[in-house]
Amino acid sequence: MVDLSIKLAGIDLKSPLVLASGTAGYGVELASICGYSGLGAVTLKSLTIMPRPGNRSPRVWETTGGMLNSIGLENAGVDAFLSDFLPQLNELGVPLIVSIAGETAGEYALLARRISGAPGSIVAIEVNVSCPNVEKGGLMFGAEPQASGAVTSAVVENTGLPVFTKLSASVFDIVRIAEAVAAAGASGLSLINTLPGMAINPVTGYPRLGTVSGGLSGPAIKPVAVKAVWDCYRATGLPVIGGGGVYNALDVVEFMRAGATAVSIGTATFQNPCRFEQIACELPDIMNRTGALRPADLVGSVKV
Amino acid sequence: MNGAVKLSGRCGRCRISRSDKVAGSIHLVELEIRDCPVDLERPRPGQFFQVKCADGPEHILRRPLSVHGITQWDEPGHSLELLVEDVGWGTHRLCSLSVGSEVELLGPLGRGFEMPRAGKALLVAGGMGIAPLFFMAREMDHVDAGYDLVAGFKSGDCAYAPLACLKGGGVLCTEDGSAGEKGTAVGKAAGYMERSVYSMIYVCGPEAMMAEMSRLAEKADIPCQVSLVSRMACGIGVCRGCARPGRNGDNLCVCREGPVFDSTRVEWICVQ
Ligand SMILES: Cc1cc2nc3c(=O)[nH]c(=O)nc-3n(C[C@H](O)[C@H](O)[C@H](O)COP(=O)(O)OP(=O)(O)OC[C@H]3O[C@@H](n4cnc5c(N)ncnc54)[C@H](O)[C@@H]3O)c2cc1C
Ligand SMILES: Cc1cc2nc3c(=O)[nH]c(=O)nc-3n(C[C@H](O)[C@H](O)[C@H](O)COP(=O)(O)O)c2cc1C
Ligand code: FES
Repeated sequence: MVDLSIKLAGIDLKSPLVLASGTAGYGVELASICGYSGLGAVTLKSLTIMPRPGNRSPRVWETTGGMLNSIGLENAGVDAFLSDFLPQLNELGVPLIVSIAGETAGEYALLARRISGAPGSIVAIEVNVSCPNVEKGGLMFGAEPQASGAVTSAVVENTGLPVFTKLSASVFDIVRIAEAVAAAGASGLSLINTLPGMAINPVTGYPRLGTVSGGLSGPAIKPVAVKAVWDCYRATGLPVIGGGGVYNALDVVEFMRAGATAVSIGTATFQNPCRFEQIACELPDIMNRTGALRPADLVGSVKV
Repeated sequence: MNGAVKLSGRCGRCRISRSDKVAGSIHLVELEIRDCPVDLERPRPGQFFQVKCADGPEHILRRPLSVHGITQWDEPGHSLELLVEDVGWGTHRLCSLSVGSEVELLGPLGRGFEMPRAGKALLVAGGMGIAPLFFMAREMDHVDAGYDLVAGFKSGDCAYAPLACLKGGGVLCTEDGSAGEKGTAVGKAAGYMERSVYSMIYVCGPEAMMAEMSRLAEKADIPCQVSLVSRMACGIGVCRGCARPGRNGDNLCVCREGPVFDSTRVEWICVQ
């Protein structure tokens, strides 16, 4: 019998499957279609201090094996989240990873304090320093080892919760950034955010997205994500929430082999809101075929 | 139409029981609900389904399509009609599927049109806007509500509006006059508004046409409901991909709060 439970930076989760930030809203919407059995945790849409309206429309475009988005961190702001959504989420009982995004290290610190003081199901903070769709913050920090480290320590110093810094693979040397984040005290890494991309309507000449370019996600980016997980896992040994293009249980095992302790499902949820449940059903069988009894047996087990 | 509604959507596989080309690149696709494992909720006019046009990881997003009709919903063997214009990969694939093929649906989703409480309504459709408004007209026929339907198209080869099977009054018009009367939907609607009194106007069509129609309605002080179009990823309110600006500085979540909105909430934009 395969046991799907994992320990992620000290947190006990009943499954390695995690919903990716921005693809599961505030966590309450999907619950009314699927329920959350088979899920380890839900990562919520990145929160900022003030509400953000996000970018101009159109914001999504399908590409071969994936999609571009330019949502631009639209969210209700941390206060509205704590008062309007957290109580409902606490009732659902699913562990929550709260993603935060700011324009300065100080904003990240403030967000960390607000989140840490909140009661209930929050088990970790994810620090988004890798959003390609905002002018300030985002990749401005994530592309720089020093800035990524500074933001991470600002959060670590202001919370008792485990901190996962979410990195972009669209950088010169992701390992240096991962090492800086590890040195700053991160409990783990979350890999990867969307990759910058662009599409143009060849006939009219207009870009497909209102913001001209956006972030690419979905199966098309999986090989990039697997390499990022393997490189960062090997270099830092930190627990990794790995993902980018996960579509089925085979992909989940592939990410575990690359070094992921937990695996995130993002864009695949748009094809089927209950995809994570299907993956959770398929996973024990795939694990059986590898001989693994629990996810931990597979982490970093690529034969190189 | 304010605020969020609880999701009524569910997933289910249905079988195509009919697929006919009805005009140009427009297909009428009928889906049989009988073998669908989930009891789909009865759709209301203006609601839509997220249709999975193919399995597999190559095409990851579903396509939003309005409900065009339902038959014998409360009896076994009931079915759902979609009116699909082949404009790209997903709609092309859906139009090419043969009878007997299975399609996965998520829905019915979103908020539809509110039925008028009294008086006569004016329904104004531009192009594929006929898909939800024809369903609206048929539902109004059920409750003997009075209406006129204006269905405008560019030309006769892309015109589909079998007005004869409706109880209400109506006109089909084309911009080049190649079918029905010559003229635009807005032009014809303006004429109807001069001749009759309407308590409500329902609009679905291209952005510029809906903008113009809501301006007319607001000037005449008639409540106007518009069904917006937006590119979607999830269709269920989790990704914010469909959001577009509202007139009060707010964002309109088209898939969840809409696609039907009171025209006074909408900030009209130029979409490519
Ligand atoms: C609520 C709602 C209801 C709709 N109802 C119907 C309907 O009943 N019948 C019908 O034929 N169409 C309807 N549409 C439009 C339909 O969803 C798009 O035509 C379809 O998604 C295009 O997919 P594709 O793969 O064929 O085209 P793609 O190859 O993805 O794109 C082809 C062209 O279609 C445009 N397009 C892509 N997605 C959308 C979209 N979501 N809305 C509008 N244009 C889009 C693109 O900008 C592009 O120019 C509706 C859209 C919405 C939002
Ligand atoms: C529509 C959309 C919105 C997203 N919003 C966020 C966000 O707010 N914060 C964040 O850290 N990542 C965000 N992401 C990135 C995802 O969490 C994920 O890292 C990425 O999409 C790759 O995984 P996938 O291929 O499984 O989707 C978003 C992705 C998509 C498609
Ligand atoms: S399409 Fe995802 S929120 Fe509307």
